[in-house]
Amino acid sequence: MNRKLTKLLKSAYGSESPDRKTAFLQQIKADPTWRKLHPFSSFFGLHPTLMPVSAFMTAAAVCALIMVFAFRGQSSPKPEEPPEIISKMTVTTSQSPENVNTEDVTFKAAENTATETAVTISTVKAEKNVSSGTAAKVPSDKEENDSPVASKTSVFIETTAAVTTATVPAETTVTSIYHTELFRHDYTAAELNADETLKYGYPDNFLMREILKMQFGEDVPSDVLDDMTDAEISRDFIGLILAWGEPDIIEGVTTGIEYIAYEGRPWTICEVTVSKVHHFNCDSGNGYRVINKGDKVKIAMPGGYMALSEYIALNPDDTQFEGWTEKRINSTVIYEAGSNQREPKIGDSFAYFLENCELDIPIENLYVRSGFNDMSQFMVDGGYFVSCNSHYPDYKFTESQVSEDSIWEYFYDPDSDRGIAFRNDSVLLMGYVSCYSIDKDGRLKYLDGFGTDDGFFPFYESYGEEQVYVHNEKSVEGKYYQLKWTDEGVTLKYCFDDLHPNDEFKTINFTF
Amino acid sequence: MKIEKEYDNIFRYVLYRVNCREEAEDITQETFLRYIQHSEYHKAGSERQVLYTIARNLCVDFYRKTKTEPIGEDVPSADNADILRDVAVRVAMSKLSEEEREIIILRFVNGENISVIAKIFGTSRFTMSRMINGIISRLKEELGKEELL
Repeated sequence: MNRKLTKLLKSAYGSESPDRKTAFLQQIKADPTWRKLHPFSSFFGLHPTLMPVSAFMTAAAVCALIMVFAFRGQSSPKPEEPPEIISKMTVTTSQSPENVNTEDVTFKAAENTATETAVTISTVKAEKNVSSGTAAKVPSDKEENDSPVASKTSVFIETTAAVTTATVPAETTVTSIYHTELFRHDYTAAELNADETLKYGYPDNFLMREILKMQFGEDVPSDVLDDMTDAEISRDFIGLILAWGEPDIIEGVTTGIEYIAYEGRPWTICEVTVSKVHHFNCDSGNGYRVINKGDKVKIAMPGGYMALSEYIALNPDDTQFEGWTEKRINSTVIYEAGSNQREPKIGDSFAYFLENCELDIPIENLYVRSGFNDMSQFMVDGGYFVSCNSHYPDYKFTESQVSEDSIWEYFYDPDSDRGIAFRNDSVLLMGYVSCYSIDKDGRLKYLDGFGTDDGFFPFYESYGEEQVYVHNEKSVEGKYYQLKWTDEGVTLKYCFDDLHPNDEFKTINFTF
Repeated sequence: MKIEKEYDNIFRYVLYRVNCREEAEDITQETFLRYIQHSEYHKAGSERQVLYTIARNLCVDFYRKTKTEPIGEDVPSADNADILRDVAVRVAMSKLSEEEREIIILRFVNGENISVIAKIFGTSRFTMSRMINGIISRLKEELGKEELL
């Protein structure tokens, strides 16, 4: 029925196409700011607690530049000298370049590949890349002689880190998916050195591995890390979870790993076989999507392996590999740590807070970890969830705090150092809401519960700007509810349904 | 983010709101320019929400300047049967509130998911889901009268 409605609406409203799109997008794509927009450049901004990290990394990058230049001045290294190549990679192709489909290039690692790792190279290289660009409105015919409405100039400073050598994990598949909408280049297959049946062979079980970026928190002094760690994070973790949205919370074992290139950068796709479901979310727009024990879910994680030739092809502005011979480029695989402090491995067992992946990666039912990073990936030990991100050691909580149901609303009063959380007792939103107090250690204590008329949680009937998500108010008031703190507890006045706004407000008291 | 697709979506959304192709082209371009010029907008996974929000605000600015309300009644060229059907759909849509029409356009014409629309309107997706269901019911009722469903 909705399909027919959609067809009607699209016919009535969806047939319009812009006239000035092509010219404008050409300008946009030429703008370096736009070209820098990919998930790596922005994931640090996802949560306020990570913002200091972003600032720190910028400072660290500047420091690294200074140190590198100082180092160069003292020791006079040979910048042109390539790092030692432990062994070479052979490349075999079985199709002519003319037949190459660059939209779907598959690389498969040879079997019997050793997983030993050798780190022998210590070359540190830094590049300062200053570029500028301009994007402006594309005028209509009548505006062609006018000045541009807006313009932008951007300056970038990039640093690169150590060059190491290592193996690529055995039996891994590297699938290259070119997303060139933003970075479209007319490379020939030969330039890409790609072929549908291109395979890497590892005669000596080694490949070069190039670490592209400083890892998250790498070389960060411990005192700085201490400052970065939010002391409130454990106590306020429920608020943090809610700030991330409404995650699916699962436990599982990694049973497959695939590496892809997305917008010119490597990503890892982990296939996780679900061993336990703590909570699943539902998107009523697409029907309820249920994760069950035994299901295999795929999780996209920033970082991973990628052929250097492919990286260069997709990132022609990256100058850190200038001067490299073709042979050397073709024998190198890059590794980017991304947001993972630990490289994903087959057999890993973790819990994950998952969100739907809204990136344009053409893999169905793909997830990402909440916040795109390993803060939302947890070791489960003795009933405790402990964040895999070692920079947040306090970020742990008990299994019971996320089990069975999700907590739908949370308020925190800093004066009384108490919080109150409400959760619906059915993931299908039928029936009953429970109220819990939260002490300063993040422990929940059941206070009371109440039924709802239609199974919908009353707080979510607040609307627009009146929906309140405030943690520092003693009285929280929305369109359809009012929450007041007293020394003894919390009083909630609410009505059930925005469809019946004239209904009498009901009152319920929660005693601490 | 596929910029070509997003550009078309933003353009359609703006055109529906301002009902003027020339202005819609300008506002769409201004939307993308503002997006790339403000790093605080560059949050992975929320690009569409940000773009829609910018476009929405620019449309509001446009209303303030022109003091006109969107009517959305320009009918695309097509054969007579199609025109009549499209007119009937627009008439049915006209019985919804402006906000409801906007939600329907985002959901069914631009294909945005409920999470994105909920964030644009500052509400939860459960509330948005219920709102959409309510709007659909009324819209279907209207379209049913015209025997279009």
